[in-house]
Amino acid sequence: MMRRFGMLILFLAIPVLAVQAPPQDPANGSIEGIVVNRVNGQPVAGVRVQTRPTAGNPNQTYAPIEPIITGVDGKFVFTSLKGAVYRVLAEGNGYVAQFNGQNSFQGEGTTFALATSQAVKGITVRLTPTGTVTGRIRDAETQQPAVSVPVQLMRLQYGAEGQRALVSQQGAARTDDRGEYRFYFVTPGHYYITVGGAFPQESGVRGLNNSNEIRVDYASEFYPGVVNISDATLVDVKSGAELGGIDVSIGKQVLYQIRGRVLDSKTGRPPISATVSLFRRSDTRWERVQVSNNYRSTDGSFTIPGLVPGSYRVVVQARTTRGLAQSSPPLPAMARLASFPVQFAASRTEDASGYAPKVTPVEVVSSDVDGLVVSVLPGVSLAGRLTIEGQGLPSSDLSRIRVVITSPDKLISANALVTQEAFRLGDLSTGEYRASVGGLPAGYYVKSARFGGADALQNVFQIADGEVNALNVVISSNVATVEGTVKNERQQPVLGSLVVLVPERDRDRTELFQRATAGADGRFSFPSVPPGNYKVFAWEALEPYAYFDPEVLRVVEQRGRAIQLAESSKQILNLIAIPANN
Amino acid sequence: MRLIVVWLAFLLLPGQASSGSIEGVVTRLGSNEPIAGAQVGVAVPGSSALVGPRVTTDRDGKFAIQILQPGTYILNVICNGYAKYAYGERQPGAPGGTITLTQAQTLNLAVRMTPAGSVNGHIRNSNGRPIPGTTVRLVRYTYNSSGRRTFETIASARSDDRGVYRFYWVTPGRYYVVAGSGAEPLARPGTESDNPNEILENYSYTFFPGNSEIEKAVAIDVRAGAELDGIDFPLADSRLYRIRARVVDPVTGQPPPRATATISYSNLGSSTRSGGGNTYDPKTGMLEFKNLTPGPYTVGVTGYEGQQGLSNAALNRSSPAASAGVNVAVSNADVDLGVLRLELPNVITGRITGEGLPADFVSGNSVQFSFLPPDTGIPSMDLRMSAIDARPQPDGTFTANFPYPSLRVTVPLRGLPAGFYVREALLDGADALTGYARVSRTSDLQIVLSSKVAHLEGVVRDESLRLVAGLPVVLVPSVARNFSERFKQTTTDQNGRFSISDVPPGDYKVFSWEALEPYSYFDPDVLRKYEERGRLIHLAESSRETVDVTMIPEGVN
Repeated sequence: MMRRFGMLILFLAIPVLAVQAPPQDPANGSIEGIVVNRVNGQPVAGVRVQTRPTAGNPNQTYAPIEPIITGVDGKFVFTSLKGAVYRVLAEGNGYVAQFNGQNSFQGEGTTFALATSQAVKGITVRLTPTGTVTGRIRDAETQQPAVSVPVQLMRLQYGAEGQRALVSQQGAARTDDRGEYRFYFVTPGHYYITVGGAFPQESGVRGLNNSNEIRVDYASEFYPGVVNISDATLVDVKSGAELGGIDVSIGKQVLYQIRGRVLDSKTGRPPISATVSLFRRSDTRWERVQVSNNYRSTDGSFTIPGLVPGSYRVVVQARTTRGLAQSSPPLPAMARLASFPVQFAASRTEDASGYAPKVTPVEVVSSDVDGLVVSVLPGVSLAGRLTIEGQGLPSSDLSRIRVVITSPDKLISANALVTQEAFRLGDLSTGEYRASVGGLPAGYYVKSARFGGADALQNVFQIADGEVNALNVVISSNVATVEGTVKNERQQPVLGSLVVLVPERDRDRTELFQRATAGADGRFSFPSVPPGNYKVFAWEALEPYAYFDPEVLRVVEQRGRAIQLAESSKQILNLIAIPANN
Repeated sequence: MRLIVVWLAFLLLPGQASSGSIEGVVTRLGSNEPIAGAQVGVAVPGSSALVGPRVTTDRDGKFAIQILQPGTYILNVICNGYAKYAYGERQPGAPGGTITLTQAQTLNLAVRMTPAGSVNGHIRNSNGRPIPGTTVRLVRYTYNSSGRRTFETIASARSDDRGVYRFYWVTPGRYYVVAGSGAEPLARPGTESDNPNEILENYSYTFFPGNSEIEKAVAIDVRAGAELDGIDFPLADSRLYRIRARVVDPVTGQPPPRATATISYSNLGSSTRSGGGNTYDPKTGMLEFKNLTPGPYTVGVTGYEGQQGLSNAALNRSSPAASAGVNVAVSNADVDLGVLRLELPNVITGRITGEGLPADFVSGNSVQFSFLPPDTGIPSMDLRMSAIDARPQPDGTFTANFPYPSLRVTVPLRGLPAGFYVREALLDGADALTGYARVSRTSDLQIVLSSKVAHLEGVVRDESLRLVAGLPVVLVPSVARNFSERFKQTTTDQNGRFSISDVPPGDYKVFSWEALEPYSYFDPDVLRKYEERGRLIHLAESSRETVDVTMIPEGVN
């Protein structure tokens, strides 16, 4: 009856509101549940519970939903909700923040569909009490407390590129005048503890510098006082327990500097302007640690101070004109050594610099590096064409497309806008590159990129002096679509499970992977898939990005569903989820 | 032995035979035990950059800084566990004096370091539950550089899961402790927790022992080398409020298609400005800031005609944009400002002139003119952030948009070449140097610089006519005393001498106090007590005067 009434309104409304906003569903659904302690099953008070639609009808507007703080009964009720797919998050100090149905601390939890006017009851969110880690850091030399030293709880985690890296879990703690630190509200699990080194940028370290304090730079070490992660001891933080005595003796860090000059190798004179960036090897990639702002065009000299020993790359982008200097403001001493997100040293569009970027490897071992000479040369240029197959693109979309070439070490990248299906990349250094395309609108994929007849997407290509070859890029609207449902072995739909399209070949190219989360009734869809051969996997729960890891895939390879996607094809799949404990 | 080393250095470096040196021994106040590992730094007054690297004391607490050119220096010593020492300081934390080093002079100093203290406590809510992650500040009353009594934050800490906080290595003195995180829209990324399991809650500022008003706060005395425990206090749960306004463009009478808004929260002597957390609806003109704790705010709004999606830099160039600023006190209710009509900015054109100005002074883009808007009436609200800069053309002319009703020329504080002063600033013919002048829609501002500065030097003696080192010497103008930049200040060197250059000609009083809080002489109430003890002096154009000043002893007023 209700439904029919709704239809009636819809019909009446259409002639009048033809160009206006579509009619809105009634907001009278509800979600009701309880937050309990996972260990003892008792209700938890003072927990902030939030819900929000994760997928809904694009024609509907969803008002923000105010969070609820649980009372002594641990209960929560959200009312006045519209039909949509929802997710519930509960967080309270002293507990691990958790989504409803989250199977592991790293998981995403489940979503559930709320039909229009439906009342969902009996949601139970189980919260795990957190742990505490405390310890004392001493100066190895003086045996006195080491003060203002950063201490971090680290885990090996998958990054967006599929590589495993140490990631700080809750910012840095800072030792006080007694050398003491304390991590609280720690998610139970195994952690590495790093001591010393630089404070991570944007870390939780607040407060003014104490003007009465002598700042000391300490080397970076792992608990219990070792340099290499392979020698480090994992600490096991248990739910509801305080782990004390995680003490480390730590040595002081000597910092070095790199001094050098930039010279035009033709004229022998320093360029008018230059940006000198420094990248440091960190796990599997180069991270920019500094941009030198002291390049002097009078003699071409530059200095990069405050460096810990390590493998570095000095990347120089010289310019024939002043201005456009990208030098960033000088970083505070501690931040200089901090991790930055990867940024390209030399990433340009059409504006000509007159020089190719130059990469120089430098090893800082146990002394300053002096007398580095960076010779810069004019670059070569590369022309190309972009062809569109299938449906043409409106010019507004076309103007966003960028053709990008990137060196394999990702230190150098250049990109060009496409005008009238042509583009030109200038001021390039010779060497190896790989091509990609940025800014593609939904519904398109990169069908091919060829350089001198060879594949430039999958393989590197060589840009040499006096380049004659062109880069030919084809994008296509003939994408395939994949959709289906995920069920468990008992044929029940598995909400919130992770579905991943894994390319059959070239699994090192993470951009070829696609992922979706199963929503209501275990349904998922991939609306825009480049044609090709894939294996489809569905996991009940998986650590983010772990599917990039060949080891993770090897274990479950047999459970993947192999599919072949032709251009413009559509595939419907019914998948069985790999259980969370697999 | 040390003397021989210095002498050898002289022999080996004849080119620097005129150099002097400073050496000394650093000991703990009271016990006189030597302090090893203390760091001694020397700088030129007015510069934060050290002359050479810091020197570390040896096992006997000794240090020697050699090869210093003759001149005036300041010296400080830091050592973990002690209050930072400044040469000539009257007490730890007070400003120090200068050292005058003559040719080939070796100066011997005895530095006594005061052990620092610490402060510990718990922060709880009204139910006694510990509050984690709240910011706790150690503050003290001070005078800011414009003479206003304000709070200075000396240290800040965060409470942990037990509500525990700790300040260590605190310079002994009298402080207040205040906790609370302030308003959410002003919270920068650094003030969010990095711990995914931690929820930070908003509490308005609360002073120990649990009052929101500073008048009821209890000061704590941190003593040398002492641990002060039990500075525990509760924070009251505070409700959060919103400020709303309907923005109207003065030309179209409609809401501007785009508006940017900022909000400043002022407390503890500084203001925090943020553009975050506001929503603006161009259809209705409704501007809203949410989640505000009670307190004084300043809302600034600028409307633009431009289309959506322009960068801020581009927007700022497309002036003149209409803007408005309004002070709002949030107490215990949401605030609706009603219609907020923006105003087009006044346009000020003018010229800066002066005989004998260096050629690159104006054309070299080295000068910025700040136009200080008048006080907003909100105590300690610092609107200088909104000051307007104008860059003059090579011929000295400049143009600036100025959204405030009156101005005073405070410049050129930066960039004024040595040996010059601002002789005159006339806004539409009215004095805009010693007071505020009203700005019209199109105003004319003429600034005249002059090189006929005066020079004053002298000595400070105590009542027994002995010369006194390390004393502040303050030159107080006879007129327009409410503008602090018109005061001149220096300190006496180890011989009790001082000199002040580049003084604008005029009538002044010279004061020297044995003990007075820095900048408190900007306070008319403080100055009134000492008025009769100031030495009156007239400085004519291009004059050089010498003066004997008698110290005002501590406790006298």
